[in-house]
Amino acid sequence: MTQQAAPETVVEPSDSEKSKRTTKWLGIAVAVSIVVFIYASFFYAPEDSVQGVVQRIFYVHVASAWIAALAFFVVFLGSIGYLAKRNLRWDAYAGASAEVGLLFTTVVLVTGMMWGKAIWGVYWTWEPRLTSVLVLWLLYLAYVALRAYVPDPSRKARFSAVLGIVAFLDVPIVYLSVKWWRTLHPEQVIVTEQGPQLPASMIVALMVGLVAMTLVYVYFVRLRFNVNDLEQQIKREVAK
Amino acid sequence: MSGTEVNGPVMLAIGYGLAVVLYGGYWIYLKQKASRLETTLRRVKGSGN
Repeated sequence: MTQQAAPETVVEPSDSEKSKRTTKWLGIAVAVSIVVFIYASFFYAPEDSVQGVVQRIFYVHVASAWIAALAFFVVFLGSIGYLAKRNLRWDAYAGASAEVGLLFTTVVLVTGMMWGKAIWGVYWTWEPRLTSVLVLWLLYLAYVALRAYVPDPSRKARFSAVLGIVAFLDVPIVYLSVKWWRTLHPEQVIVTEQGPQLPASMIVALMVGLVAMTLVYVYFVRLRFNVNDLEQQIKREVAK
Repeated sequence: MSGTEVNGPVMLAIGYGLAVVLYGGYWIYLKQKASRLETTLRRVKGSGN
């Protein structure tokens, strides 16, 4: 007697399962990229002949700064998107990106202070680049605080959108501060009229850092979105 | 020995260490918050609320 195999049931994964799987793979990509980044910044890139080993803080400092600017650009776009379309999805993008951008800016400030202490002899000095970055950090701290304390979703989205647009004005000021004013902070060494002012291996290490930090940014925004979705689902269930 | 030579490795270690604490801390915060919310959602759904 032969047994016939039962027809296989193909179960398509739900959107939520697909999203979880994507986030998991993204997490693995983040872990791998960070290992490569650590190798590139500590072993592949040569030691700076003037500053010595502490110059290696450059890779995490600059990569975090560029991604913070990207995060705030996303807040800017999300804010304009919300005001134009009045769709809360735009606001959710902006909110998640602001929180992650604030984290990146915190890392920029902290690593900059350690680098400053080693090279300048002080953790902090009120010069234009440092001050404008601190203002940026305070603006987005205010943005995150605003979102935490305004309960009505549409009012929260409207107020946040205005602050998200106004706060972004500080990003070009931060970028151009080293050109506009005499500062202690070094000028740009990558984007210059004469091309990058660094050895190729240092640029490679920085680019690896940029890829790693971009993946970290996307991963954190996804996780933040997941938290938002869960909060919304709970609210809907409670309201039923 | 200059101040840079003394402080450099220490400041590098503190700088990278704080970056790891900040990024890692935020990752743990998000993971734990999601886990807590998933538990709450299951409980709310289970109670037929």
